[in-house]
Amino acid sequence: MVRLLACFKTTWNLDEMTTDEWNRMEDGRPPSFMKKTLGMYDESALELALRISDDVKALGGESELTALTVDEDIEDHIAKNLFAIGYARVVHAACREDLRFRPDLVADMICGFVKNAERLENFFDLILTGQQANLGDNGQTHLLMAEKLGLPCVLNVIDASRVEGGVRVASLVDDGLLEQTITTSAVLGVGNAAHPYLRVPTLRERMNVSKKSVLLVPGESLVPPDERRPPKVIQTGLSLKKIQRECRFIQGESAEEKARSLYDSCLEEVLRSCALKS
Amino acid sequence: MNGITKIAVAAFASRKGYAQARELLTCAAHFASLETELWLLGRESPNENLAAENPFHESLSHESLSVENLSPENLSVENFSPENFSLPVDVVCQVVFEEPRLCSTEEWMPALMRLYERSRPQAILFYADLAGNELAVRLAARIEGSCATEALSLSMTDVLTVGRAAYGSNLTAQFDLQAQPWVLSVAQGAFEPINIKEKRTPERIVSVERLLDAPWHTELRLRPEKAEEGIETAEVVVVGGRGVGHRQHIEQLRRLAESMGGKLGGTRPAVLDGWLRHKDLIGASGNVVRPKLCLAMGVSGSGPFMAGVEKSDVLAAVNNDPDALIFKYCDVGVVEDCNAVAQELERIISKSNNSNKRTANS
Repeated sequence: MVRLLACFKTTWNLDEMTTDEWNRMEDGRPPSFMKKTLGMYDESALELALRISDDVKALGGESELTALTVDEDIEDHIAKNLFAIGYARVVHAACREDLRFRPDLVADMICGFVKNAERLENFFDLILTGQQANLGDNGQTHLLMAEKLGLPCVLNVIDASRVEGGVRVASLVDDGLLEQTITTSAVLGVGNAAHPYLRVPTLRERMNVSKKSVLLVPGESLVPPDERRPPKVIQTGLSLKKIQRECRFIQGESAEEKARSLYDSCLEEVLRSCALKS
Repeated sequence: MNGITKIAVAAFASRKGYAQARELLTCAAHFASLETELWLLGRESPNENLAAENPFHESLSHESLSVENLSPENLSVENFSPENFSLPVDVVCQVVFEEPRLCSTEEWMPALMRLYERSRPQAILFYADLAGNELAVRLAARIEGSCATEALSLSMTDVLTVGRAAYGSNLTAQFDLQAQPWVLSVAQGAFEPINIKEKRTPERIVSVERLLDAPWHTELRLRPEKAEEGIETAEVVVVGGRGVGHRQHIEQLRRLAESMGGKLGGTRPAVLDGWLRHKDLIGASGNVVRPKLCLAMGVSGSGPFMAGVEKSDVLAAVNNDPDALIFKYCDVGVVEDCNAVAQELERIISKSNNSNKRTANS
């Protein structure tokens, strides 16, 4: 049995926010009418876990998929969707604390969940998570999990597949693409993955899981009191980036006219100065 | 502001590492440290011809060797000439692997821990590339320090306050780092490279390390992949976004970039669609560029992308959506089909280039 744990969080699509909405935002919370969706990289991690599970089954093995979120809430349609595409369990570690800038606390809770599972002889072969999520943009949770669990961690994973003796993982490094076969339990931080989007379930698959429900776990229970630590990094301010530029629009009747105007009024001078310098 | 007694700056012994160390040393100057160490990490970049173009190598490549622990077989790897050393540091701690081989970033950790244990600096700076971010977080966790990645700014009073991007690079957040040692990765381009004023004669300490066999992985293979050559330092950068619509139009942008003497990069959607390579990604999770001119074609202007181009001298954008966010952040905007504009621009610029060549020949 190959056990896979995919950790995710839901967040807002900030690209949809207008400048006015950014200006009006209070307490760091986007407008209430905005819906939460899966974090961009977390969605890729959830899909990658499914693909590895598919590989295991194709090789004649068995696999079990668990999805875990540490958050104040979880949207019902997201949980139902995860059940429908093949997750056996969706776990919600409920936490009322402000987790935006607390990768340490999120990592502690996930590790608590993993250790609890190990006590029941349920060892996860792979733990996958997105490498970064807004709002915090922390990019630390998977590394802290690996450090705490004493597991190896591969970052910026773009693809993985089950092979004889382990899982073949491709990840981006500063010099190129690193491929390696992971032979033990490990944490994978999923980045700009080859398959970034989650698969879509059929109507039948949705109906089959309509009675499944999320397993709710109090987040605080996952971190024993003697392991709770005050944060070492405290967020003290949040501000809009200053816009330093003011856009001057090029006018014209056609693309050709506008291109000419863009060249004459802006590009020519810059290109000339670059040419002079070279 | 009270300074600290010791700070360490970590860099890989490569041409790129040298440039990164210059930025880190500008950042390090803010700590007013009494002593600055450079942790020089081996030589591991398979993409670089170290013998030919590595400034560290120039500094480190001559005969003078009065270093303990350096075994004869390593003499040809990283020799050292203190009288040639130009970076403003007091101590160079260099890690050389006895049998260099391809390894994961994690396998550097024992060597880093030994470097830390030897001198116990109060602050350690890494460059915020993929390896630097990982090393910073891991080291901070192991030495129980406090960590901030992708630092854009900092100030120091009783605590260290670090500013970095948040909310998908749309906002700036400030953090107080409570516990020393402080371990930071410093965002690309956040600090100007330090001016080299004079030759220095730092103390040099070499540690020859043996890479332990990692039992958790096998069959490591690296497929070297360079970013569009020189895109980080290019004076002109053209960026293609999903608004370009099709891979074939990317080739048109490549021709446009070449006609302008520039380089081509892409946004995350364009990269995910397979139109450009991962290494050509422009933005917070890719290349941060600082060109004289950045021409964004079919780009919406998301926060992470803007983090990669906001240091451009002139930012021009072409997008057929008049409400595209990019028009809030650019200097010059054109509301138009970006492919039609690219085609016409290429024609105009090629014509101008030919005319200039004729003038030069005559």
